[in-house]
Amino acid sequence: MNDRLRAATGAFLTAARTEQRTMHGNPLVLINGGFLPVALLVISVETQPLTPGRAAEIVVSVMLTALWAATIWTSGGVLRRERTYGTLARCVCGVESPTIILFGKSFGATLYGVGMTLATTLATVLLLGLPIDVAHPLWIAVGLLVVVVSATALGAMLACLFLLSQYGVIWSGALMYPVFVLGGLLLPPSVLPIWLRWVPQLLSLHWINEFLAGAIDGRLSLAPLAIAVLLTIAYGVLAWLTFRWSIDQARRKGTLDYA
Amino acid sequence: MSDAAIEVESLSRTFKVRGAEVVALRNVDLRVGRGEIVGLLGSNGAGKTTLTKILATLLLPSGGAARVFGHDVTKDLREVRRMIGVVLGGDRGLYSKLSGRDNLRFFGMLAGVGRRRLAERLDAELDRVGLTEVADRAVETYSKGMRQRLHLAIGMINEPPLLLLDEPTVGLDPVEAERLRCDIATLRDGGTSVLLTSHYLLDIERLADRVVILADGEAAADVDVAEFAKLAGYTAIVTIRGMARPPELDSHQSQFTVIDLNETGGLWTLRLRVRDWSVGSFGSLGSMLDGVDILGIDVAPLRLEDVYSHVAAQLAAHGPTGDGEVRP
Repeated sequence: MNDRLRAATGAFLTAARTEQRTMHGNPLVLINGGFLPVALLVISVETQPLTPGRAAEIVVSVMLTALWAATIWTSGGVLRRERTYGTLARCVCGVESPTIILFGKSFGATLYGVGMTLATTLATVLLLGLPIDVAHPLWIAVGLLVVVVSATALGAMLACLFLLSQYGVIWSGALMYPVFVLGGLLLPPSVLPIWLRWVPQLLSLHWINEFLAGAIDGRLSLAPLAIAVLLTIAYGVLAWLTFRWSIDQARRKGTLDYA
Repeated sequence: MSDAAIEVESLSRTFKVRGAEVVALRNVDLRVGRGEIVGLLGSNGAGKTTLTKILATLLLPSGGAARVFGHDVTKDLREVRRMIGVVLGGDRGLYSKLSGRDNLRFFGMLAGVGRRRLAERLDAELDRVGLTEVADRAVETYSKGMRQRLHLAIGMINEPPLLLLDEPTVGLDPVEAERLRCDIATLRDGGTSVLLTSHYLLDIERLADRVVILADGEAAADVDVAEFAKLAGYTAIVTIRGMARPPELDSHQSQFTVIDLNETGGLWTLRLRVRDWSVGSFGSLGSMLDGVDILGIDVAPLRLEDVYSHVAAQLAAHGPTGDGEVRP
């Protein structure tokens, strides 16, 4: 590994670790990654008879719903938080590439959110004794890996979009529930009006949902996984372009402040 | 590498505020030599922070050129950022939930310090600013002075040859401020060039070799600290308190200039500027006060603060000359 690549990897991992440390005790992560999956699972399984396939669908949907909520508030807010701390200028005007720092921080926040969501979801499944048989555990691991990468890219993209607006916090709240409803996580897209069914197609979590549910109950299909990967790349490219553009604009307008 | 740490030529910057153009910097020239500490003075809105931001690559200039050790601040971003450390006053700019060590590690990585080197530098820098004992405590438990010392450590973690200091002692108690000045003086002794922006003239007096005054976006003065003191045209202020008849100044005492004379209820206070204060001045003062009832005399040597007030008043009255000179 050459020096430049080693430095970039080190910067990415240090940014991720730093972000994780700043997340400790964050109430939004505790609510979205800890409380939300438990509440949704308990409510969902109480109201209907469960086959192993249906239970798998519910567990995956609940997990991804909680993950979306965690992503929008954690990795989606990394740049907004830097601005609040007064550390944004240092982060984007260091020797290391600001894009690497952004993705590192988004990765750290996502891992924290995914870790907590996964742990509470698994604990609740065990406590409730839900009948889930995993048909393709290896593909589940692959799916979870894509979840982390996709949420990192999605979070970075949202962080950049929220940074462009002074109403980032309001946007975070406003986007959460429409995606719950329209994203095909809680409600099947088939119950949406036809003119709204394109919305879930743009959300990688919807395709990962489909892939994971199939990998659990044996109806494995790689097409949804491929679409999720393509969408993830698109989020990443959009984040990169938006981030570069916003830094460039901030340097022209003088809106980057050290403190 | 260039001879100068900072070279600024005809630097300009304008901002649009509600559709109107506001000039923050107008054709500023500035040079900071290697190992030199230059104090940047000016009232609020004079352009100090704008200049610092351009040098720190946070802001693009509208015109002119700025180079750090020969590297253009608009093009050679990576090289410039390797060469500078930035230290600002204030409570923000740190991760308050993280420890001082973790903050330093993260910002050291951002400054391009390799992992192995960073491990060595962390302890050395924490030790230099006296934070070793509290290095693993969360920054939110730090005093203002400790935070400011951590800012200095962050600015120096990559051992930059140039340090940009913006109000480093703002809000610190006198003991902490003095400690920070000593830290900065140590850096100068180590050959680090410093551009120091401060409202506290004591910082400039203690640390700077040269003073540049910005007024209305222009460099209104650029002089050695010793020369700067002469800009006021006097070296001390004498305050005399007495009763009954105040003294009269005759033509032989031209080294004294009356600032003001206040009389109330038979008591008076006379303030005089002394052009060149020396032991002989006591004799002149004695002959001037012969036969006058004196209650007390205070002699206050000139402070840079007085000089700056004098220069600022001149600039407010006449504006910058545009050639880096201040009217006497």
